[in-house]
Amino acid sequence: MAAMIEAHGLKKVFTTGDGKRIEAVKGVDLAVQKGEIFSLLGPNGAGKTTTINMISGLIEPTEGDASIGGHSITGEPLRAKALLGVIPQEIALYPKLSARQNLNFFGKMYGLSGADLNRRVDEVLDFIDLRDRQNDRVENFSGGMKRRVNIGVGLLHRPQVVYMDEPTVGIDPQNRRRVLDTVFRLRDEYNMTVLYTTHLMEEAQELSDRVGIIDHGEIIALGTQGELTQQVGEEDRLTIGIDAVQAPQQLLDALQTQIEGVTQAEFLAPTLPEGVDSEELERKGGKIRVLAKRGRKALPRILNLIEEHNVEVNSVEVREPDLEAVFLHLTGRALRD
Amino acid sequence: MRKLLEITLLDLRIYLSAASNLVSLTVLPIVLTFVLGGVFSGGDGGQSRLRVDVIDQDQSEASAAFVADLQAVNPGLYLCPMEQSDSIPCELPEVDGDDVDAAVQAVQDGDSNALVVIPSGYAAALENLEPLSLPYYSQADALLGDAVANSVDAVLQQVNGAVIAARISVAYVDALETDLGGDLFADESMVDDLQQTVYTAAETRWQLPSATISYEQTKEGVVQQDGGPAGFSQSVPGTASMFVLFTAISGIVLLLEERRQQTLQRLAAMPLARWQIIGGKILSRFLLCMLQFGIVFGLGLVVGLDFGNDLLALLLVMAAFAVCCTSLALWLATVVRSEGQASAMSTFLGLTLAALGGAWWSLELPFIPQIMRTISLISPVTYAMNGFNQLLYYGGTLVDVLVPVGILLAVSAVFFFFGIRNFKYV
Repeated sequence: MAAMIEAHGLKKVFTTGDGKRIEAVKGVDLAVQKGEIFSLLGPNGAGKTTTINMISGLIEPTEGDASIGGHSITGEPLRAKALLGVIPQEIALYPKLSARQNLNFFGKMYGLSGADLNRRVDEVLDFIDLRDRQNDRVENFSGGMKRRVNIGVGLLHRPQVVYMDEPTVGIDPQNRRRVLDTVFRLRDEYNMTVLYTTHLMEEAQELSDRVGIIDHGEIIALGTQGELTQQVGEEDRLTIGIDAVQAPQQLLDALQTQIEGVTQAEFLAPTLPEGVDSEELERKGGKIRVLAKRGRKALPRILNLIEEHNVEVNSVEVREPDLEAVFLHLTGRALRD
Repeated sequence: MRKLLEITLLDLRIYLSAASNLVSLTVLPIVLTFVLGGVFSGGDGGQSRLRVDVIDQDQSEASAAFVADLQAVNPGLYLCPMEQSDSIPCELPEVDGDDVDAAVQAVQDGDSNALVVIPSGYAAALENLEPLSLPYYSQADALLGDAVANSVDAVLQQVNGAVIAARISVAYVDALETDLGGDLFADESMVDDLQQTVYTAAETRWQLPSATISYEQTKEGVVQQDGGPAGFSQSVPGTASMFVLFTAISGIVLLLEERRQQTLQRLAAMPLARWQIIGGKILSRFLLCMLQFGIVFGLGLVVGLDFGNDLLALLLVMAAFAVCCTSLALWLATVVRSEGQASAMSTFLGLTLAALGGAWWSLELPFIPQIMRTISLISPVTYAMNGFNQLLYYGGTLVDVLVPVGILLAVSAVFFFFGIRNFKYV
C-alpha cells in the first residue's frame, strides 16, 4: 500500500543574520500509512515543526522532497495541499471575526462555496461543539474554544491528512482531553491520517500507532511503541531508596540469584556536594537499582530480601519501559531537558 | 481569481470594521484638508479673490467698458454679478436702483468686500465731457477697502485720461480754427467723431503693457505670490496623498500582525498560489488607497474645487500613486522585523515623504530652497503632487501627467519585484 505521507532526505539549512548556517533538519525519511496516527516526538527545538512545515509546503526544503497522497509538495503543491488539513500550534484565526465567519472564509480558501460550504461549516461547528457560539467573535472565546475553532478550520474540506502541531500546548486538562479524543475520532470515524507533533511523551504514547523520535534534526528512532521500547529491553526499572550509605554485596548477589526475573542489581551511592558532613550523607542514604522482568510482581520478594539483610527501605519507584526511557537510552538526556 | 478577491474582501472588512481605521480614513484627512485649505486660502474654495459687487444702472457700452477695465486692472477682484458662478452666487439684481440699499447692507454684513454703483447717465456724462460721480461703498476694514478703491481709482484715471485727451483734441481743433480763421470741419458731427476717436485711442493706450507693480498680498504671515496652488487646490490633493501614503504603509503592520497570528502561514498551507495570497493583500491595500483619495477629493467636490479638464488623467494619477504606495508597503514588510518597527516607520515615512513631496505646501512657493526641491525627488508624493497640480491648477491633460505617472509606475515595478521576491509567510 502506498504511503499517504512520504518524505525523502528532507533537509533544511537556515542562515542566520551573521551568516552562520544552522542545519535544522538533517535529512529526514519517513512514510505514514493511510488511517495511521503518527507522532513526531522530540524536545523543543529538535526540528519537529521545521520538518512538518516542509511536508506541508510552508517552507521549501533545502534538499529532498515530500509528498502527500502521491503529490509532491514541491512539484504539485496545490494538489498536495488540497489533501492536507493544517492545525497549527498557534491560534491561526482572525480574532475580529466570528467563528462562523472564520470557517466561511477558510472554507472558501479550500475551494468550498455555496450550499456545500454552509453544510460543511455547520458540520464542523457541530463537530467542535460550538454551534451555539458560532456568531461570537473569536477574540471573546476562551483558550479551549479558540483551539476547537482552530482545529475545525483544518477539517473543513474533509482532508485525507491532518497535521496537528502540538495542539495541546497551553490548554487545561479538560480541553486537552477533548483534543486527544478528537484525534481518535478523526482516525476512527473519518479514516484520516494524522501527523501529530508533540514534546509530551504521554501524548505520543496514548495516541500513536507509530512514533518517530526526533532530536537535533534527525529521526533517531521510528516504530510502534513496542518496537521502540524493545530497544531498551523488556525489564522494568526498580529504584529502591535505602537508609544505608553502602549496600551489602551479599544483598546484591542474593537479588540476582534468588529472585526470578531479576537481571541486574547495583548500588547507587549517595552523592552530596563537597563539604556536606557524613551525617547528612547517612541521612540521605543510597539507592539500589534493579532491572527485572515483571518488576511489579517481583517487588514484594525484593523488599523482603532487603529487609532480611537488615536494610531499611525509604522509597520505591517502578518504571516500565516507555518512550522517555527510549529517548534517555538513545540520547543520554531526558525529553524535558 | 475568486480566492484572491475573497482575501481582498476579508482584508477590507477587517480594516473597515475598526473604528480607529475609519477615523484615520475619514475624520483626520477631512479636518486636515479644511485646516490647511483654510490657512492657505481663507477657506473660499481656493480662490484668493475679493468679492466686489457692481450695480450697473447705466447699462451702456461705456459702463460695460468700465467693468471690463476693472477686471483687467485687478484680476484679484471677483466682480458680482458679472463673474457669478454656481460655487459663488452673487444674488445681485442686474438693473434695479432700489436694490442699492440691499447691496450696501451686504457690504456692511461682510458678504461682499465693496460695492461700486455705475449711475444711469454715466455714458452721457462721458460723452458730454461732464463731471460724474460713482458711489463707492466698502467694508469697514480699511485695508480691504483700499485694495478695491485703488483698482476703481485706476480705472477712473484711465477713463479720465481718455476724456482729457478727447477734450484736448477738441480744444486743439478750436485753436487751429481760430488761428487759421476758418472751419476745419464741414460740420459739427465731424468734430464729435474726432473726439470719440481720440477718446478710444487714449483708452486703448492705457491698456497697452507698461511698467507694472507686482502685486503681493501678505496675510497671516503667508505670502501669496505666483507660488503655485493654494487653498483647497493644494490641501485636497496634498492631504489625500499624505493619507494615502499612511493608509498604504500602515498595511505593513497588518501584514506583520497576520504573520504573528499565523493566519498568513495558514493561508500558505492551503491550496492557494502565491500570487493569490499576495495579490489579495495588494489589491485590498490599493482599494483602500483609492477609497482614501475618493473621500478627500469628495470633500474637494463639496467645497467647489475645480477638478480640471481631464478626469481620466486625474484618476490615472491617483491610481499610479496608490500602486506606488502599495508596492512600497509590500517591500517594507519584507524588511521590518516587528510591528513596533513597522508602526514607527509608518509614521516617520508618512510624514517625511509627504512634507518633502509638497503635500503640506506647494513646492513652487518662492521660499522653498532649491536643495529641498532636489531632495523632494526621492518622494513619490512629489510626482503625485506634480500630476495633481498639472491637472487641477494649470488645467493640464493626460499628456501633461504622463511623466510623473510613468515615474510612479516604474518605481512601483521595482518595489513589487523585490517585495514579492522576498515575501515570507513565516
